[in-house]
Formats: sequence, C-alpha cells, structure tokens
Amino acid sequence: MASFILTVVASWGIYALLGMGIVLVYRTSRVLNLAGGELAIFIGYVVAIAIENGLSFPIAVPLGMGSAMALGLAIFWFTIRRIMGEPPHVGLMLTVGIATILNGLMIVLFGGGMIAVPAGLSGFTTIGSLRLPTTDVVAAIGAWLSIAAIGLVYRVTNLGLQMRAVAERVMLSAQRGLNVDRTVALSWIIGVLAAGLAGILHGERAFVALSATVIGISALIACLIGGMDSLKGVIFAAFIVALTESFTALYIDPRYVLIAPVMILLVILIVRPWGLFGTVEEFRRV
Amino acid sequence: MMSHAQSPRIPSSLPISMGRTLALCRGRAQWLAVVVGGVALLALPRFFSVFWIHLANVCLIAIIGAVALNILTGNARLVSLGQAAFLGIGAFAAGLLQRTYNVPFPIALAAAAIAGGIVGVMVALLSLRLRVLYVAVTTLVLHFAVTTFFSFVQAVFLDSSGIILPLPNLGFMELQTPTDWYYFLLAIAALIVLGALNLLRSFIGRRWIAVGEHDVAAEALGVPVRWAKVSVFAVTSAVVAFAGALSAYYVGTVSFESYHLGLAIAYLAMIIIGGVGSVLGSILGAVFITLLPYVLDQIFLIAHLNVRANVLAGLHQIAFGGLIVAFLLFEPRGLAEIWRRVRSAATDWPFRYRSASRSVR
Repeated sequence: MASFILTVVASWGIYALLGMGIVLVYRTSRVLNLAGGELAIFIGYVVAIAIENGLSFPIAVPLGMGSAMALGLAIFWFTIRRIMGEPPHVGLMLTVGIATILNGLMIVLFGGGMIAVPAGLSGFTTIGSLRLPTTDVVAAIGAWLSIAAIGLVYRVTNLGLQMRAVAERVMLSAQRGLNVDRTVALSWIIGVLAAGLAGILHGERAFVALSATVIGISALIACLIGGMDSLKGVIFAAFIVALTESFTALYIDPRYVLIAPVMILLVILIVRPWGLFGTVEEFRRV
Repeated sequence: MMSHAQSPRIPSSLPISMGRTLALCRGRAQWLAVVVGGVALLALPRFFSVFWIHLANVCLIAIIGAVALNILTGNARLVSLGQAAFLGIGAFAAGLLQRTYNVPFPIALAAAAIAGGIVGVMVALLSLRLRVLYVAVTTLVLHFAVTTFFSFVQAVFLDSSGIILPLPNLGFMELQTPTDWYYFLLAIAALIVLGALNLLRSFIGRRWIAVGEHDVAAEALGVPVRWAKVSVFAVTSAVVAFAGALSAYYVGTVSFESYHLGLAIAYLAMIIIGGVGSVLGSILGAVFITLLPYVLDQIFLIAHLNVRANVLAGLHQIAFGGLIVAFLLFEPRGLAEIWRRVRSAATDWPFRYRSASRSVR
C-alpha cells in the first residue's frame, strides 16, 4: 500500500512538472505544446547517454538541464518568435512538427532504445517500518522540489511577475515597457526545463524510450482537466491522472492505462470545457 | 470598359462573369491540360512497373483522405488530430462486417462511410461549443479512445494479427492486380476531388469557409454555424472512414497498430505542405508525403550511404517534421502556392504580374 501511494506521488510529481511546463508556455505564448513528452524524453536521453559515456550523475543532470534551457531558447528563437500572434492552430501544428523532429533525432542520435538513467541508486529506503524503492523516493522528492522551485520563481521573483503580466494582457504589459519577446523566451526556457527535469526523473524512475513519450499525453490531459491556463489546476489534475492510471494498471490492465484519464477528460470537456480551474472568459460560444 | 473596347476579343480564360468565375476550367489551355493529364493518368499503368503502380495506389488513397481532412482543417479551420481514428473506424467497420456477415465489398464501404459520419457527428456535437484548440483536443481524445477500443476488440474477439480481408469483388470484376486497383481508385479519387471542388463552390462549402474564417461574423450574416460545423464534420469524417476501408481492403488486413498518432500527423503534414485550404494542395501534399520516404531511401541508395533501417526511419521523421515546420514558417500556403507562382510566372512572362483589370481572381 505504501509503495502504491509512493508510485502515485512520484508519477503525480512528474506529470505535474511536465504539465507546468506546458501551462507556462501556453499562458505567455498561447501555443498549445504537443511536444511536451518528446522534449522530456529527449532530455532524459541526453542525461542517460552522458552517464553511459562516463559522466557521473551529479554532472550529467546539470548538463541535461543546460541543454533543456538551450533547446527552449532555440525553439523560441527559430520558430515561436516568428508565429507570435498567428491563429492558434499554427502554433499547435508547429509543435507537432517539433515533436516529430525530436522523435527522429532520438532515433538517429541515441538509437531510440530503452535505457535507464542510472543514478547509482537501487534497493530500498527504510523509513520507520516502511521499505520503499529508492528510485521512486528520489523521483518524488526531485519532482516536488522542482515544482516548488518553479512555482516560487513564478510567484515571488520579478521575472515571474513579468511572465504573469504577459499572460494576463500582452498589449498592456508591452505598453508598460515590458519586453514581451524576452519574457516569452524566458517562459519557453523554463517550460522546456520543467519538461526536461520530468524526463530525467522519469528515466531515473523507470526508463527512457520512444514509447515513454506517452507521459506527454498524460501531462497534456492533466493540463486540460485542470484548465490550460492554471498552474493550480494542473497540479490538482495531475493527481487525478496519476491516481486513475495507477489504479487501471493495478486492477484492470496496464495496456489500457491511458483510457481512464481520457474518459475523465471527456466528461470535463462536456460539462466544463475550460477545465476545473481554467478561466471561463477564454471561451466564446457560438 | 475602355480596355475591353480596345482589345479585339476577350480571352476565354478571363473570369468576366459569375459563371466563369465559378467554373472549374477556364479557357482552352486549362481544358487541354485536364484532357492531357487525364489521358496520362489513364495510360500510366502501361509505362510503369508494378511497384510504381502500387505507390500510385497508395497515393490515391492518401489523396482521398487528405482532400477530406483539408476541407475540415483547411477550409472550416477545425484542426483534427483524429484522422488516424477515423481511418481506423472505417477499416474496422468494414472489416468486422466482412468477417461476421460476409457482406459484399460496396456495402462494406458504404457502412464504413456511415460509421465514420456518425462518429463525426458525435465529435462535432462535443466540439460545437469550443474553439480551435479544443477541437484539436477533442479529436485527440477521440484518437486515444478509439485506438484503445480497437486494441481491446482485437485482443478479446479477434486474432492477434487482426482481421484478414478477402479480395474485394465489385460484382462485375474482382480487384486482383495493382492495375485493377489503380483504375478503381483513380475513378473514386477523381469523384472525390470533383465532389470537393463542387462542394467548396456551392453554398454548403461557402458556409463552411465562412465559419472557418470567423464564426461570429458568419453567424451575424445568417450562416447556421452549428449546422455548418456538424455537417462539415459528418461529411469529411465519412469520406475519411471510406478511405480507411479502401486502404484496409487494399492492404488486406485490419489491425489497430496501423492507426497510431503518427498517421494522423502524416496527414496533417500532407495538408500543411500541400497547401491549407486548397484541393490541389491536398493532392500535391498527399503525393509528396507518400513518396518522400521512397525518394529519401533512393537518395541514400544512390549516395552509397549504408544507413541502418532503424536510423533511416529516424531520418524520415526528421524530414517530415522539418518540412512541417519549414512550410509553416516560410510558405504557409504550401506547394499549391508555389505552383500558382510558377504558373503565373510562365503565363505573365515577360511581366512580373498581371495588370489589375485582367486579374479579377
């Protein structure tokens, strides 16, 4: 039972982290990022391959984080910057293209096979009378620390304030002298960093593989259940997604894991299409 | 008016009346192109090997699917990620009917189209109240729901390899060789393309385009927006499911593994690269994306690069994704626009463009 709860907490953290990346980016640039899972697993691969080539875990993780930030900046600079203000389907299809490129790169550069991110951790941690798998403990702690750090940056710092301002009203924040381009770039850097961290932790806990990009779908479903523009919502909804997925895997069939959150999303789309915590004014009914 | 009086006769290619503006073919040159192109397409199997005819068949099926998706996503601006799901619905509807009741081929095709249309109406009703992004999300949900359902059906009721379909019988002939299939598919693709062109210039298609351009403005002008959205989803989903059934019969098997998200993305790539909102673009894009992997393989073969099959698949994906991104950024109207520019460069030579009075269209 304790290990089941830990599984849920760890995947909750990973989905919430990845979902945060998608929401941050959506709030400032209004691009629905369908490449979340690919970005995450790509960075997971970077770290896994770096460790395979002799780097130690504490060096490989900052390397992965650095490449995630560079990737975020590159995506903004070469693509998103050029389509700001275009109709929303352009950004959506753009991220589909980016996801496809990343998928191909993972095959060409890293072989696309199934590799664990070896953190040198194994066995069990004993807390009181509980024996828990160490990898899950590390994944849960890492994910929740990252969520706290990003949430803090978003709530407390000046940069976070600027990002929130751009999310509220682009025009008004530009008129108040805010560099919108820089702020959106920053949100992409942080968004891809969050995705990358989620990918590293997922690799540490389980493995990185092409099929693992499905965590992006779970995270996206969490974003949509919670409301695309709400960080609170995505953290809450990630719990629902992680819980139903774990239940389905345990009691029904691991093959149908995705169907439970999809069904919940379907209900949400019918009764509350803007999500549990999303902004209602976002929608215009015809 | 003065310019008309000065010129001795008005060329038949000029759209001087409403009828001529709406005409699919204007002028002798265009009619000639259509006739020559038609004859070339009919004669194609005489000059190419079986492998190329097979590729042409795959292209024709892709054209049927892409034309429908382009009306939905390009003209009515409802971004659909459910293309693979609808193809699968058609394939499974036809396959299950064939397996359980052994129904004739044409009836199985019709049933597939009806099944696709019904699911399309359901998706449309769900996404009626929502905007662009959420339509994409609804269709994504549909994709996962449908593919999981099919994998369940296949695991519980069918063999692990799926459904094996017999050679289709049209009543008067059996489709055995790729050449038989080629003429059959060519006829159907021609009908679908003509139908799409006709729909888009009729009041139905104009309503769809109006809703795609701006749904509130369309409503204000008296366009029944709900009806337009439901009908565009119903019609295009029926055609896509029909294409799915055709492709299932062509391949000979139905299995849920074929209907992955990558297939939906490949169809999106077709309409983005071909030209969003253009029937010609759907055709060009479908042919382009279908042939791209083979062309890449040939290039590697000619360059004597020994690339493992696995890496080659990765390179295909990079090319796919790169082309989607490049066309979105640099040529959002796709190959159709490139073709239009090349054509007008040829017809207007030695001038850069036509004078305003002559280019009504």
